[in-house]
Amino acid sequence: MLVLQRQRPGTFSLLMAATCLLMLLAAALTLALRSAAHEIADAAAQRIIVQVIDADPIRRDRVADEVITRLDRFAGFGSAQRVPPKEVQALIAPYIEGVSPNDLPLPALIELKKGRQGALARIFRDLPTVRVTAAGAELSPLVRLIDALRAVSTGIALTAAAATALIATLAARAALAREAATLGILHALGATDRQILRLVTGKIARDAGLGAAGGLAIALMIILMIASRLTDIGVGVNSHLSGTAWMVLLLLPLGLVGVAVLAAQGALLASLRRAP
Amino acid sequence: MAGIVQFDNVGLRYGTGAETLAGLSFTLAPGSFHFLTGPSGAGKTSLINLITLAQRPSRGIVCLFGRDTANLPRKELPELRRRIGVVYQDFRLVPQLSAFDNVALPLRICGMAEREITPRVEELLDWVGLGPRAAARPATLSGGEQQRVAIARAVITHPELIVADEPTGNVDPEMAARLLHLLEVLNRQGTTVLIATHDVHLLRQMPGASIMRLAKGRIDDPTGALRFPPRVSEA
Repeated sequence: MLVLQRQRPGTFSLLMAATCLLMLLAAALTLALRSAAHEIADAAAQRIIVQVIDADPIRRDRVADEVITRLDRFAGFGSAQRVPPKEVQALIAPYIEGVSPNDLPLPALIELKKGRQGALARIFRDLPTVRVTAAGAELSPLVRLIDALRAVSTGIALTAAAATALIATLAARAALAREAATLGILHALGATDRQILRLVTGKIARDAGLGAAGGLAIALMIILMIASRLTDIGVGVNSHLSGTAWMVLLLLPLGLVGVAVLAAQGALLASLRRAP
Repeated sequence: MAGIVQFDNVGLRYGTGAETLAGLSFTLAPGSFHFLTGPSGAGKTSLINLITLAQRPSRGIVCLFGRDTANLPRKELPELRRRIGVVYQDFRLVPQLSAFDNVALPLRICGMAEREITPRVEELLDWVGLGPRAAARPATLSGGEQQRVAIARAVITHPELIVADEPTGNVDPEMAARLLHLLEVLNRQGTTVLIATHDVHLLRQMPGASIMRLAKGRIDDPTGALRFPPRVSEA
């Protein structure tokens, strides 16, 4: 029943495209940060450094070998690797200008990708020169920053969804005002509220769909462009945006259209209930 | 016998002003034919709005098809409206639809299949002399043609009640007679007809019809005793 005026999709579709673009970019950031935060949090929680602090290099090497042997013996810990002494010396060299690192009693460092600080401390209780430290503790400020960024991007995505609902409500009211005469005729001829609702929300859904498709296309271009730039500098965004995340990004515009239709229906129902 | 339309002490007031309609009590029996006359501003259109459920009364009881409209849930109103064919004084055609689609609209609202709609609409458009103009939009039709489309739209569903506000105001006498004949035929088939008009010639063509005179929001003859047209000067 094509009764409403045929109008080219205008401001409403453009606004939908803008909010959809904003929401998709924010959602992509949220999803990417989510997996990044997980990775960093995992690392922060489980990455362990075992230090052997002994001025005697022979005894230090012996204890370090003992530590690695014990770690290999116990199941549940990831592979333990001693950080090469030259690497440790290179790390400290910039801070001891004028002094040879060879002259310093640097500790032996053993890196563990997976382990629990408390359990390891118990294993090496009988080795007084051994210190177990959670390396990830240094990453916790970064994790907190990522969490904050995630909260902000989620907020932007939700704000965009709320803006869409408001825009759709306004669009529905404008459609009602524009089509008041026609809708009055339909009512007088016995059209039900449901039929009127279908007519007006159908048009809003079409315009919203068009806008959301436009927003999706632009958002995908931007996301893929950023992904390619990050790949150029050696950061794979695809590892942060999983297949599920891509699916979510593709489905979000549909959800946005759903929000628009629901908001429009709410506004229309409220107006129709006021009619005689 | 229960009336198709029953008004009991009905009043209608817009805002806080005086009552536009006051103390209306009358019954339109099934299959009856009525004219509603009265000077401009007497409340004819307001009365038609009450009958067609475009407005609710401020007081009193309006019963349509035996149902008290005041206590009717909103979702049941469309069903009652579909049983009424209305011809508006200003036609109220949908401007973006063709004559064909305007006439087909009530059938589409009722959910009738397109294959049943097409022959029915074409036949009626031919009957009102608008077959060749079926694809024309209202803006390209003359006033008389628009009025005929409005009448065709009102009768296409064979409603139980037809309410027409000045249905022959824009057509030539020959077409007016044809349209009145159509309403008469429908009335003989059992449709109740109420025509609001100033056209005394129309009143004379239906001597058996009851006449309700509305003046200052009140009906002069709610009993329908005035079953004769008013005197017309032959000048």
